[in-house]
Amino acid sequence: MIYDICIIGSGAGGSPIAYELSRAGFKVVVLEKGPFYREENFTKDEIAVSRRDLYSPLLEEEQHVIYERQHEGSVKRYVGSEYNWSFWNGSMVGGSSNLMSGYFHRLKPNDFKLRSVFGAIEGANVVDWPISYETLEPYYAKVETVIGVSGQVTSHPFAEPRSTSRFPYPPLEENGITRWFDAACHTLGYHSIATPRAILPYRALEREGCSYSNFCGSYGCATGAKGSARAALLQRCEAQIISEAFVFKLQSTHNRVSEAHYFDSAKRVHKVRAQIFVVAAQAIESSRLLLNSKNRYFPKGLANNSGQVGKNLIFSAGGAGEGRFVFESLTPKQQKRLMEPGLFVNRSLQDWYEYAHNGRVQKGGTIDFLFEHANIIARSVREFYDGETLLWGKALQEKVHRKLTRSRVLTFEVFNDWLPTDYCNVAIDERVRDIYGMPVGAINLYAHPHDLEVGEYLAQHAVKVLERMGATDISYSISSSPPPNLVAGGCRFGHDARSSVLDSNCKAHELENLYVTDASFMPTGGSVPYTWTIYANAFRVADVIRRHLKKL
Amino acid sequence: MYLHSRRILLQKGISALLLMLFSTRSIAQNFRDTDFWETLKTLQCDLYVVEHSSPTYEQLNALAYLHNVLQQHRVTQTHKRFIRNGVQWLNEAAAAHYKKPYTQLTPQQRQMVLRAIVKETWGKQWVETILTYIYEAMLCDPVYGGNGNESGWRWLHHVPGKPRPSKALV
Repeated sequence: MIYDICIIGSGAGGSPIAYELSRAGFKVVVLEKGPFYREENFTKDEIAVSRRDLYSPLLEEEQHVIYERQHEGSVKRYVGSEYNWSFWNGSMVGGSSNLMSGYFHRLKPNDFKLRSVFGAIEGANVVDWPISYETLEPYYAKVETVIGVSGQVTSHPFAEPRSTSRFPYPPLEENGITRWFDAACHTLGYHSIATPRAILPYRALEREGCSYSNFCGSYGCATGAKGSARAALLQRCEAQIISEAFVFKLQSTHNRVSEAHYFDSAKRVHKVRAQIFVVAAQAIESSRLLLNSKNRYFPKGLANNSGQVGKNLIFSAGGAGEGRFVFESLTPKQQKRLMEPGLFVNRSLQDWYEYAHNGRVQKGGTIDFLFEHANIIARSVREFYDGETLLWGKALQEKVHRKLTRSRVLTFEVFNDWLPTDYCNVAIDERVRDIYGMPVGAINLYAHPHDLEVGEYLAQHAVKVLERMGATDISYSISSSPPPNLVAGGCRFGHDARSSVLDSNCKAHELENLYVTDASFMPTGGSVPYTWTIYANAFRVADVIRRHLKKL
Repeated sequence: MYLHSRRILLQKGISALLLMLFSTRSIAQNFRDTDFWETLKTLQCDLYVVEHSSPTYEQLNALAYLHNVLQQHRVTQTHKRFIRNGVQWLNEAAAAHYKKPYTQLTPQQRQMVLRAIVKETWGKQWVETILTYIYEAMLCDPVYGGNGNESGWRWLHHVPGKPRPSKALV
């Protein structure tokens, strides 16, 4: 059988293609490495999900090797299994979109032309995108209706243009602390934004509404309210999904991919033929697949005669911080409101998405505010220390009880650009193999110092809000550690085949029928979580592929 | 929650390094299994003190819980070896200070030994590990064998997320 489209990976990058093209009548097959969990399989099981990483491969079986470049130029090598350093996130049908919190922000128009607007930064490979915000805007709007985005349009200095006046779904219910947040921001002259969420507030789109379970991020959604690629797209279309299918090689001629080769769970090899192939296996694994697919026509890896595959890997830069609200400074009514489980904070700040520094305007970012995760074991374990001293017995139990029953932590997360550089990329480590016998991905890590400066600037403003709200124990950490769940780049799109892997439609420059539609295409990441942009771009490319198929 | 994993990573990186350093240290082979579990039980009771509002040690079921942890396939062999080896090192520390195994010391002597070993890198890491599994036992969903009568959740006024697991998945 020859499919019209074979998609490798079922997350936010692959599923819009499957959804659109299967509904248009094409024969679509999706090959997903992980298992197929459905709503009935998802529970709020902290032990399995959060403490034993149920949704990630065992590192002894599948891992990465990390080469971390220090600022003085030396490089440290970490074999993932030896250091328990994992870059997996959501190995299942629907990918990591099952586990996202669904904080949805669009990129801003200037994110598409970073180099033109803000200029070059020494040591960074900043370029403009080959498409504009105006090109992507209709697809951002499409995501709102197809995936389901709830929220309230808020006017602020960096609000992006919209083709619709409102979100299709109203905001989720909010905890009373949002009023304190809004008041603090008003006093400080900041613009409190009601954070859009990819969560349905009520039954719609053949899915149930949010149950306010108090366990959202990191957990699969048992109602289907969260707009995962699985719930919102794959379960609502006729695409054939083959789970536990690890694609290890794409076979090609000089200009066409002909077959995808995959291992099933019993390590038997299968081959799939299709007219068009779409790779969307998450940025690191997509580059790894192309690099592992070298042949006589592409001796450096598929679509890699330019040497660009795997280059300019990026993450979300920034960090996190928090402040604690203690009962002693609150009225009984406020205490009750603070401790109410399930309701969301849903507030963001983008006042410094661009800001002046040393006489020039530079790119800033986004700050999201949310309650500390409800995981009770994690919240207890974090109280084990008093400074450097490990506590136990009565002292520890009193501390845990006091902190968890008489206070609550509001956290913030800072998102700013992780500048692309020559030192941050994906390669292959031939010395380490996975359980299938394939060479694992080598992740070369480097964070540009500028990323930390911007993150620091943003965090200081978040601290002011917490202070104004009356929080105590305020702290934050801006770090160059890469968040494995916020990774992009490696297969840049661009007009020049010498400096990019993909054209502006995310088709490989060198192959007629290969597209890459996960976050790999992004030359820069913007200063927001990526998911909405990945979805929107994949819907855009789906239109391109539909036109492509009609010509065949 | 997007950045949650970044923070976990920092903690894990340090822990993993320590486990690598200490899990392969050789231990004496004359340590019996009964001594092993008796030592762990005594240690757990030293690390967790029952008070009027907190769960009882029996409700925690912490020893059986730790036994299960040592059987779980998603817990690495390196980590399991570290837990096992630590029991031997604890007894070596007890013998060095008082010339007796840990279980034969007075409560005050045992606290002295604990305070001594947490000054060492392995000791701090190991005691923290044992403590972590005590708190897992206290606050896990009861399908995992701990948190009897949901006493841990009630103690901390915790409302579990729903749906809850119907069986242990690890």
